[in-house]
Amino acid sequence: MKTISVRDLKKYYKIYEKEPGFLGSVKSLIYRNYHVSKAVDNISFEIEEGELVGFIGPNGAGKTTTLKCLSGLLYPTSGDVSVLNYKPFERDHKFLRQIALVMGQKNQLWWDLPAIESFALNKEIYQIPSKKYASVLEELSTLLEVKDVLQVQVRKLSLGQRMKCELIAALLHTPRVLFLDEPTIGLDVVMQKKLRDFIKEYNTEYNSTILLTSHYMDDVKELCRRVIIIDHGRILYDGSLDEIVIKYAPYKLITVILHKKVERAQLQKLGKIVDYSMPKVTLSVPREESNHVAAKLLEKFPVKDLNIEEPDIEGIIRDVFAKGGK
Amino acid sequence: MRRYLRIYKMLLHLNFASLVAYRANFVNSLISSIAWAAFSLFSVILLTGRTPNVYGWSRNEIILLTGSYNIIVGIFHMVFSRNFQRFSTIVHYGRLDSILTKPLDSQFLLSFWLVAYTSVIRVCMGIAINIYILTAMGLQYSVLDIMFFILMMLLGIMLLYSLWLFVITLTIWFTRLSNLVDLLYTMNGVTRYPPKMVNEAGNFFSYILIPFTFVVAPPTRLLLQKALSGEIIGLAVLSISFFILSRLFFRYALKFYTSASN
Amino acid sequence: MFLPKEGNNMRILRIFLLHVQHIFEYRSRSLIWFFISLLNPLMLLLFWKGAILQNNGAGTTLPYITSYYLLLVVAGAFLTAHVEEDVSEIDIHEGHLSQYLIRPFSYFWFKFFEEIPYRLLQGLYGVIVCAIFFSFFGQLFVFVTDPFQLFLCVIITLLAYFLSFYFKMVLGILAFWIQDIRGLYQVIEIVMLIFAGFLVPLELLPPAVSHLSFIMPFAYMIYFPVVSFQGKLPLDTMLHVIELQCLWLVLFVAIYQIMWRKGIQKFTAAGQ
Repeated sequence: MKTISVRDLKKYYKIYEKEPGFLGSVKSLIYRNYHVSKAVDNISFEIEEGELVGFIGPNGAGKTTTLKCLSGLLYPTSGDVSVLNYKPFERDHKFLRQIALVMGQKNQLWWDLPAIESFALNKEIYQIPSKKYASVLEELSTLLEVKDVLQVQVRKLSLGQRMKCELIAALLHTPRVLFLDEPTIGLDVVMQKKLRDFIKEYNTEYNSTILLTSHYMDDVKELCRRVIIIDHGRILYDGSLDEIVIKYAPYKLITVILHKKVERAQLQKLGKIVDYSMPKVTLSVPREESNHVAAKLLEKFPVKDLNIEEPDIEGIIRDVFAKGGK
Repeated sequence: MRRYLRIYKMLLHLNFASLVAYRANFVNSLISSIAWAAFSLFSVILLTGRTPNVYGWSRNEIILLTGSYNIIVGIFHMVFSRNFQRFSTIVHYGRLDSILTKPLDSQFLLSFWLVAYTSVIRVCMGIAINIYILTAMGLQYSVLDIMFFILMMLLGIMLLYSLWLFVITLTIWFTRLSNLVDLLYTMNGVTRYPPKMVNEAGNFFSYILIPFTFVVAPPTRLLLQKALSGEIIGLAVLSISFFILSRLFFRYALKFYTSASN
Repeated sequence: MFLPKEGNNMRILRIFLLHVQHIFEYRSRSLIWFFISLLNPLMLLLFWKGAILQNNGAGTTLPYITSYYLLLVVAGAFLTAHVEEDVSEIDIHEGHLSQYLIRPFSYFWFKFFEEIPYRLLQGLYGVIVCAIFFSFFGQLFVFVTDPFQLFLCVIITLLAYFLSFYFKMVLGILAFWIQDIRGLYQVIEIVMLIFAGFLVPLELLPPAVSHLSFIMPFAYMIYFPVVSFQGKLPLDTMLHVIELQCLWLVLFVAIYQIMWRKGIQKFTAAGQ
């Protein structure tokens, strides 16, 4: 049995429209227009235990809605969802004890008390055995480097420390399935990196299944071998990051630095010129021809330096969105 | 059940710790507790200054009503009010999700999270008023009488709780109406008047208020040894049925929330 | 600002319209606020009704009491500004005041025109309720008839609003010096309930309390507008009330100006 399995999931909303401005307000008193918005429109995927999957797409693509359906916060319009063999929307307490949903800046910590007090409360709420609680707390606070601030009032902590403590509070019960919605949003680059390392370690340490959404391609590039790309409520791509390159970017980039000026026309025969700023030229050539073209370049032109690259992944994904997955 | 008690014990501890940690807050809520209890007493003394008898209640009896009001509402504020305030804020800012993903009864999490210890002072002032008036009236009680009074009082609190839950649950649909809490605070004030006053007003709005008149008056009439069995049964029935009704309504609202929210 | 040149009038109009729109969005919310302000006076009215019927008048009459509490609903809604918490919590403690300070418009008048749509709407609800009541119980209503007296009533009401607004602004900017001010606000609210006439018409209070209430400024914010609209005050008393209102107003304006100057120095020095 897969840890997460989603089949033909749909979630539609009715959206009421209001015209802007004062007259709009008056109008909305009398009648209201609405249209159906398809937040999630017929998506299916499966995730195995221990997988770390990145969920990417622009704002309003349906990422958060999907996460909410998976964690039991939203009742799907239609389709089957199963997480750890439970139907999430029944919100069985046994199910809830095995998952966690971390969304942006949550505040479940008690503001006027040290974080450790809030943790102790979560221990009771999630019925964590004392021994396990002690060892997990020790481990998480070491990993996140907050051991020495656990006894400090939360209101006196820095934003970063507070976020880390929130994360600990959410993970104390070592959820088997973890949903992370934009975990690094609003953090500085150093903190982002630290948090990423932590997520990776947590994933291997506890073999938990993690589904993560993010705006930052860095998060996804570094953490996830598999990505699901979603836009307008539909899945555009589901597979490994490496394959996305082969599928959507059937070309490589060859950059050469030349000793002498070479005319555009001469190079154009070998591939599409992406950048021409003497003495540097970048060509885009079909993947399978790249070696052949490189050899030709070396042979025919006064090459000082040559470099073959994969195209930039962010660019590819932008392409995917632009083409709508076709 | 034992698990819930353990969690509540823990919450009592956390609330006390944060009360002590933040002194200004402590002073503010203490001041407001004392001030409102004092106001309820002053206002009733000023109001009844020219009237020895209103709606069948003598001046002393009405002051006793105020005493009981402070005990019952004091306990209610200590245990519940701030939780309802938190409830409507949570809904207003769309943070119900964090409640729903906890493996614990959502109603419990929303009703018992915060404790306003400073309201104890209000309860004490209420008890003092009652003792003073009852001594002046020369009434005597057995332990059983007191126990029965306490039972009635608890039913009154349960009724008040259910009414609040019912109304605040509406904010799940009308998220902007977080000020319904303020309306409820004001409606609590209705409980300190003779029930007859509201019953005889005879217009649409006063009917809405009738359940509130059952919260304080029947226990007080019990103290006056004037309670009719009808009032007592009425309170018990209202209290239990509203409790069940409000819980069902709350559950229904959550179902709505999870099928329509965005 | 890249707006075309326009007079202060235009700007005031814009502030005003913006907030009217805001109110429409929050119309249901403001209706609830109105119910809140309606409930207590109605309870008191019902209480008096019983008291008068059972105690041979209790020193007053039903028409007087009825019109008193109904006018009180309007006065309470129309004349009680609720700016103090916005000023203290949002503007001063959370630092939003800075946004006002960089605009070429006085903070005080900003707040003043932000508040007026709310007061008008609340007052309008009150007038509607009164009108409904009047159509049913016209004979229970006591109201001023003489046009000159009516004119004085309007002046008393306007002065009352300025008085109450300045008072609330003073309370608001106290937050420059006092960190946790909510306890104080609660106490002042209670003092106002008693001494502005929200609880009982001031002349029906025990003599000592009644006397005290006329020395304090609160009666001039709520009680006198109400009784003057009832047509109960003779002309010379009305003029005297206006005199005292002006005196209080001058005092509050002076206090506000001094406090504002000192407070703003403290605010900018703290670099909030």
